[in-house]
Amino acid sequence: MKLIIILITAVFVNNIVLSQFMGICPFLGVSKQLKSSVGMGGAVIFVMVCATACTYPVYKLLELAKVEYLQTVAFILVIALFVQLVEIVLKKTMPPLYKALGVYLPLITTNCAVLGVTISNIDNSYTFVQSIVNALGTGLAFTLALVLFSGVRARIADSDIPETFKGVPATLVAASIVSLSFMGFGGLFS
Amino acid sequence: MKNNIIPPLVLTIICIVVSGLLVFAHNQTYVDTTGVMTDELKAGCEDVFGKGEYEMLLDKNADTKTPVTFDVDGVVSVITDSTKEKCLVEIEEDGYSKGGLHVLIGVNKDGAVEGISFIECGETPGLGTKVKEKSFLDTLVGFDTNTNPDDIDNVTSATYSSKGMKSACKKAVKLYSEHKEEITNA
Amino acid sequence: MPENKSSMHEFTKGLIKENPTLVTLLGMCPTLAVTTMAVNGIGMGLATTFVLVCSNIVISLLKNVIPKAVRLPCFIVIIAGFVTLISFILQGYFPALYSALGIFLSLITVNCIILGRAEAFASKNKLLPSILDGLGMGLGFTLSLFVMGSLREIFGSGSWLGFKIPVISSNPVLIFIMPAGGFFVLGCIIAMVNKIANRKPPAEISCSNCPNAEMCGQTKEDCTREDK
Repeated sequence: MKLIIILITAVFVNNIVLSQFMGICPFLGVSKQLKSSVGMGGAVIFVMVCATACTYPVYKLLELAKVEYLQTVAFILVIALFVQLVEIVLKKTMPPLYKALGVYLPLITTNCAVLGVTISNIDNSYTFVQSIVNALGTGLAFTLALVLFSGVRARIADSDIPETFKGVPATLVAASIVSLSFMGFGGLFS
Repeated sequence: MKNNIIPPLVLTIICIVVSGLLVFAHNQTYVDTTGVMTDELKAGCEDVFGKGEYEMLLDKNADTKTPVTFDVDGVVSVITDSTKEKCLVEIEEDGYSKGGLHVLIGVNKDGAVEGISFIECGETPGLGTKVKEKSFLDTLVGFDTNTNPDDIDNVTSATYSSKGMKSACKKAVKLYSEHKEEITNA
Repeated sequence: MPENKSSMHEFTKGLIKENPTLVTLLGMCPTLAVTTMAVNGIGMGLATTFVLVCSNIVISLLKNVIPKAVRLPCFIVIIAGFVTLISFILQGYFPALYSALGIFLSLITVNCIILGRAEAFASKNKLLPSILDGLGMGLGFTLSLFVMGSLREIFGSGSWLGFKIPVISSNPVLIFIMPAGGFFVLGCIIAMVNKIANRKPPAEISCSNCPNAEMCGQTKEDCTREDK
């Protein structure tokens, strides 16, 4: 039961992009079209779950050696190396998939959301299974935000916006309204 | 072959150097404050009860300084003064963020909350941090084992933080009433 | 003297003309997250400046030693090291700021600004210009965080830097402290900056500021980054 609560909380109540402010750069950069949003979202879910699977045992090792403060260095190294590895493997084994998703992989290394979810798993003292579920939920949350937003931006593109607000400012104001709507999920679990 | 070895080698060397420097910096600067009455704690105690000689209850059977917590989740330490009439419970409670409310709850000899002092507040700035205001803390004075937490109003837009504060008070008064003997005779 | 002039230019360009948040639109995550109070914004900005300058120094000194193939992981590890260092310092001397910044202190590691400047500038330039570049960008970032933080704090809590403002503090507009308000204020500030600079939005985001520029390997047409 707790797993389902973690999943729903990650996707709706504490949406990583709209409530926790992580992953904004790709959120603004890639959400222009539905296709790229789905692609980015899929890649992020994959990287998040695998990164959690890799960083959790690393943290346990750090705990054993009593050097928990090396967590930032260790985690980001694991994430960077993992992404590099996936890129190499994809390029060699599945060229069509690489062509579709590969371009997003370097962008994911610097995505706050990936490092953010690995650190918050530790901060919330989740078990391994709970961490994986949290990572899955966060990835889904990111994808949801991106997909929703691509729809919003498609509508904005056709409307008449004052010159000063065209482009990024209008996008941000739209994001604020979407974020406002997600606040409605706040009281979902008492 | 050489081209394939040098890059990972350089990366590994840089990692080792960085980690080594950080371990060195940490060991030079880290101060273990478990079981020690820090200046912060003393100031918090004096905030609630005024000046006095405060000391933390420590486990007499342990080798290292271990604070007595009576195995209650979230309780960090229990502090009394020389007269044994004043008791403060150091609690780390979840508000909106995990462990966001790090407080000292003063319990008087009748088992009711005398006052609260904040050691650290990791709640949302401007919203959750409203629970630090005197107007809310005053409503928690007199909280004892018979008080129903729902009778006390939460601070608007700081619901989780308020609930956390009430939960902390409940823990403190419950601990005091259950272990009053041991605390006053320590 | 042309050399002094260009040195000053390295420093000032980061403040206004190429201000990381408001012009090149990098480092958005902390801008939205920690600016609920002005003093948190300043703290975050100064912490980021510290990491930026230190990592620029180290990377500029090591630029001939780090092989091209692994340069991004190397940069990241160096940056992460300095982030851990500044978090030790904050934990010890400024615990209130440390708990206010929370997870975003560790997230300075993946702040696009730092990696972007390391990749685009420090790895290709000498020591002094790199230091000035880091200082300029960092202080420009701090400036924009301060402005955001002040606006959100004044309207959202009715105080500024801890001092209560008479009329607003009794009826603050809470939405400004919430995530939605953050997006909104940033959008308005960028719109205002564009208007003042009389630039036709969207601003030109060239590949040179994208930290993944060289790893990317795409042509400008294929680039999935927005508003290029």
